[in-house]
Amino acid sequence: MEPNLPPRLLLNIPGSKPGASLPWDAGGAVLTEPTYIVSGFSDTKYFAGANGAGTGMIGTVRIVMRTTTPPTGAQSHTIVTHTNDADGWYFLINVNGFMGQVRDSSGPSWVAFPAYGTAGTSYFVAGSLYVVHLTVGAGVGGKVRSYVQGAETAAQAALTGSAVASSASSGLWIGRYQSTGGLAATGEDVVSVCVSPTEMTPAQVIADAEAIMGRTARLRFPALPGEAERYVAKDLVAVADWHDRDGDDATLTKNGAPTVALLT
Amino acid sequence: MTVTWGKHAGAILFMGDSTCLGSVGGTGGYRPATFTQLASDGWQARAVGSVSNNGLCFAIAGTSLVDFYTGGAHPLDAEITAQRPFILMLTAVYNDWRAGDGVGGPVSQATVRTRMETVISQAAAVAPWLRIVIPQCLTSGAGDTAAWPNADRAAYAAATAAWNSTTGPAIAAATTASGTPCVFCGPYASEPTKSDFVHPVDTAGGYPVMVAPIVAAIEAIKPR
Repeated sequence: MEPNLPPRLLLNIPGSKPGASLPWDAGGAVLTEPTYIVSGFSDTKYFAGANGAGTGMIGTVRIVMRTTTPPTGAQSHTIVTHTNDADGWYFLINVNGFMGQVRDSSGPSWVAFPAYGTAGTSYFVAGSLYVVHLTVGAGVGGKVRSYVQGAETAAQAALTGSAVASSASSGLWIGRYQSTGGLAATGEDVVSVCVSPTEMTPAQVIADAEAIMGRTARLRFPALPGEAERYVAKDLVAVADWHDRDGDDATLTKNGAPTVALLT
Repeated sequence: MTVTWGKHAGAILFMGDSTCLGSVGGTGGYRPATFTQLASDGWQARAVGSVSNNGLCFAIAGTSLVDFYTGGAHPLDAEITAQRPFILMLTAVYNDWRAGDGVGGPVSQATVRTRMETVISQAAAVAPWLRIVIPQCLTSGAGDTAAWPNADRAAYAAATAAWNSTTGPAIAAATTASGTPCVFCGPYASEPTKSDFVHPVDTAGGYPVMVAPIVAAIEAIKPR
């Protein structure tokens, strides 16, 4: 395990985005920024990107998250969504586990994370952090796969002719489902969300997850292959809206007052 | 201040024959207790395989190591392709080393090693993300049978001892060095008490003896 490193001085780096700071090298040791977490999502507290902005056609989505209040009964907690019900993709948690869906006008491709242990019991342990990946193989016969902590949990043949077409009528939202309202991620907290149009292989996912989980303080989030969007909770300390670190393809407007707190 | 990562072992494929099934007691052998212990330790995991028994899936390879990769009801590559496990438990016991139950007689340590390495290399080729656990090989139980005459049993006992102390750990080390994480699981606190020529009893001292080292191996090979 890589050692947890002491705090570093924060520098203003010309050209960096608001609130962002980058790992830097000091005498051979790469120092890292503190890790923050966003919580308190609800129907009125969430982040929303403009329609048409962001990566509608995904290859990989990676979420670093924590469950504090697992869903019960018929509840569904939507962590991230980029869909208007006609196309796009999303992740949600319910009592049976974690589910992802990609879809376009030809139909949805679901990938449901199977329940573990007793059916009807969410297997995300309250208070623990998880690294979750959803990957999408392009083309009919490609696969939608889900992973937790680097281990594949489920796969589904993609029904669509391509992964998912970008849509002018949907955008990236974090903390609440977009099109119909509700289904907010109450009890789910987000540390970072990264999106890439490139599909990661299972071996890449394992390495990626282990690189993140190899630390227990001041976490690092390696770049996904071909990464297009990166949202890190720390960036919300200084500004209200959530800026994408990878070129700011989609700025997510703050709605209500989700809570941003230092995690480690 | 540090964070706590959720512990998630992913899909586990128990691959083996009658000991994997839990013969002969009918309660699933070491598998149910393994999952109970994993859950008690805070782990999430699920069993996969084309056979379901005692609420847990697994796969029966056949009657010998050869069947893991050359045929049988559930050839290894097809099983892995279908189930996509993250952890493969290669539950081979001493009688699995032969060419088949009731035939072949004892085989050399070199042959056993070659067969096991063939199993592992094929599994790794099919699923390069795989992590492999090799439980310690059980030794023979009591009783003289037509299929397992005492003369053969003595030879297997000697070969098994060598396997557990030398060959198994060496294969695990070589497999890990080649890029597929592999753990040899053991030693058991004691050799499980048998109900017949090889199968442990379901009660304390039998299959339960296998659980703690197997759980420790799973937790070691998938730290989070």
